[in-house]
Amino acid sequence: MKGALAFALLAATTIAMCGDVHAAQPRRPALAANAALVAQGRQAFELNCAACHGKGPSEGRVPLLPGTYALSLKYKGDIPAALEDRTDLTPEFIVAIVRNGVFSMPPLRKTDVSDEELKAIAAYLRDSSKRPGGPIRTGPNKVGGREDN
Amino acid sequence: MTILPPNVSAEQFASAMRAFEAAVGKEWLLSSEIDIAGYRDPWSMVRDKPGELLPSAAVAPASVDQVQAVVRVANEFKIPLYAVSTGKNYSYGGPAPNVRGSVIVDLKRMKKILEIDGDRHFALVEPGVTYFDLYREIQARGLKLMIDNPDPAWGSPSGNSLDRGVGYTMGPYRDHASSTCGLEVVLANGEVMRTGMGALPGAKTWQEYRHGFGPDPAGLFFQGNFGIVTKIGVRLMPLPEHYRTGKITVPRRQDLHGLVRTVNYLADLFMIGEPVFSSPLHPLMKNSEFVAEATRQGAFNDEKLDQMAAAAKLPFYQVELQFYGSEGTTKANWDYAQQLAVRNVPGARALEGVSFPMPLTREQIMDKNPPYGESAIRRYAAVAVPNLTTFDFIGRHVENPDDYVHLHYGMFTIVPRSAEAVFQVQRAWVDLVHEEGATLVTEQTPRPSVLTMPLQWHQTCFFMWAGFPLQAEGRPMSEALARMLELVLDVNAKNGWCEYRAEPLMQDKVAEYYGFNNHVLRRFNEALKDAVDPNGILSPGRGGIWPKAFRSLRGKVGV
Repeated sequence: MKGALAFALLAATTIAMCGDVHAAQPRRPALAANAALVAQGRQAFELNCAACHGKGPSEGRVPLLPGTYALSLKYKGDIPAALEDRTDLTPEFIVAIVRNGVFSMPPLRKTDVSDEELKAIAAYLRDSSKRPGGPIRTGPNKVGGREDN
Repeated sequence: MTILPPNVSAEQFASAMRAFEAAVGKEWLLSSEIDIAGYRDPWSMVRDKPGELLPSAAVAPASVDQVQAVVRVANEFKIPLYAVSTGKNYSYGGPAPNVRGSVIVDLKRMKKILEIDGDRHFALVEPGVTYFDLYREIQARGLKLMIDNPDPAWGSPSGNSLDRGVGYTMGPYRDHASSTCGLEVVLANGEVMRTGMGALPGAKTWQEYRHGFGPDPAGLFFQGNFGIVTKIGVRLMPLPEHYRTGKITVPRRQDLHGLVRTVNYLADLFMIGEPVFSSPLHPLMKNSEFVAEATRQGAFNDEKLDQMAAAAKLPFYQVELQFYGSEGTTKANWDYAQQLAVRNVPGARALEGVSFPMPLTREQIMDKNPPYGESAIRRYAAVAVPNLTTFDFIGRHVENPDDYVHLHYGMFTIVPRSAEAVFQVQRAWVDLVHEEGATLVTEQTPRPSVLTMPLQWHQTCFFMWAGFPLQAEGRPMSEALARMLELVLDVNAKNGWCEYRAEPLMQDKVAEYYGFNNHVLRRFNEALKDAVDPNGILSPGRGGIWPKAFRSLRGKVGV
């Protein structure tokens, strides 16, 4: 249910982003709210997901992002392997996978990542999927916005 | 339907839940179906079976005060607790308790890094701090420190050390339990105790001298159930200026004696980090004639095996050495290692590895042209950058495209640090396969053979690894797997070997083998347990230690 609310919130935000210029007053806070949610989601993704599901190459030797690699084997290119490129990840689906785990991925608990953070991750993935060809944005060992190994 | 703890009525449990809620807040009493899903062991042999080690609920305190309050509630209602720090420890049971119906005390919300000292080389952390967290904080502060993380590194220094986990750098740091210094513990009666110098008010040396004065009970909290650890001191290695590797090969099987002697000497002089033993003969395992010799029942024919290795122009065994220090000292130590190896094993050869200033760049870790093909995963571990790359092997991969079979179940047998012991294990496990049809996987080989090699995660002993295939769906392997585990435990015990660590389902079995003098060690531990935890509320059964209130459950975990 909370996931559905998040989706509704996102949809409303998207509409606000696309709204006409006369809606200047309501549009500003909506933009700010969405940007904040996406930023929060990016940080939560980086802390909880990127070590397995980050976007990046396998560097020609070993796949150092096991989740991304596993999904590349599973989907064989039909669906993007990197979650940040996926357009089909609904908040409900994210909650179901994260809270129950799947195959080799164990579940994450509310003490790992909160329901609010899952909503934010959904917002971030929705945002990042708009730029699938973009640069690598997250990494498990990033510190203060810079890549560190 | 809620699973109740043993001997607790639904009414009592409901009262306890209200009291837990008052202790930690409504949000952090976790008992819905989806909450409980997070505290199941995904790889349990008894998952979805009647004996699955499911908790009744979880509580997530955010402070020491709240942990104390939780313990007091548990005492009042006789509720067994099971404390986890980050609740990973997968393949050792994950967050699942020994006693079905226990309440999990999830400490992940306690995630303060209380201190990091870049000059005296230690950190003081709460249980919910992960290796990733500590690494990021060290980097953010620009400190010249290196953590020794396990693989995968998603767990915590607290949890991993308390279960005696291991790492991959210099000897004293690889043994995570031994590299701790100072604990804060909430005891079963709710009191807070500090070990070592933490007991001295005003002391500034809590993370610098672990023993304090008099008997040091810190060891009771490792693989034990005498308290809930709420702070832990961790000794950290200073970041060396330089990292270097080199490989020594030896031509014949019996040359392993000299090679191990060489490595032991270098390791105990702290001249090398983790030595990685292996054999270059793996390609020959595609040759049925070699396989027949390498897995021969009863006795190996070393002369013939040596001839086959020589015909293939391959050495029999090898070890990769890691050096940490300055560029000059790593070079001098590597030169000395080569001299010593040749002195101990005529015919030993040396292969130059890599030589990088530290910290390594991403490109250096990922080195696309490693001198002798070592993996980037190895290098990640050796230079202690946290990662989860181990799931490349135990999850979905090219040889396991449906993610159906998990090689995520293994036993690590403690054996002497000698070639003789390695050969004895090879002999015992090869014969086990022949005699019992055991389906073991061993270090770097798909079945026990003369290529089964030791791990030296602990500096002072060898671990010999036996792994077992565990299927994710349907779990038809579970019964067979349990039988395999028991077969290996039994044959090991006959040779004076046993496990260093086990999941709840196996802890009673393993503890049974540590039975010197009519189990006096277990009786001593249980006498202490009954004295300090009279209601037996703290992780009953953990480490094979059963308090009086739950002792009838010994040997029945998972049944």
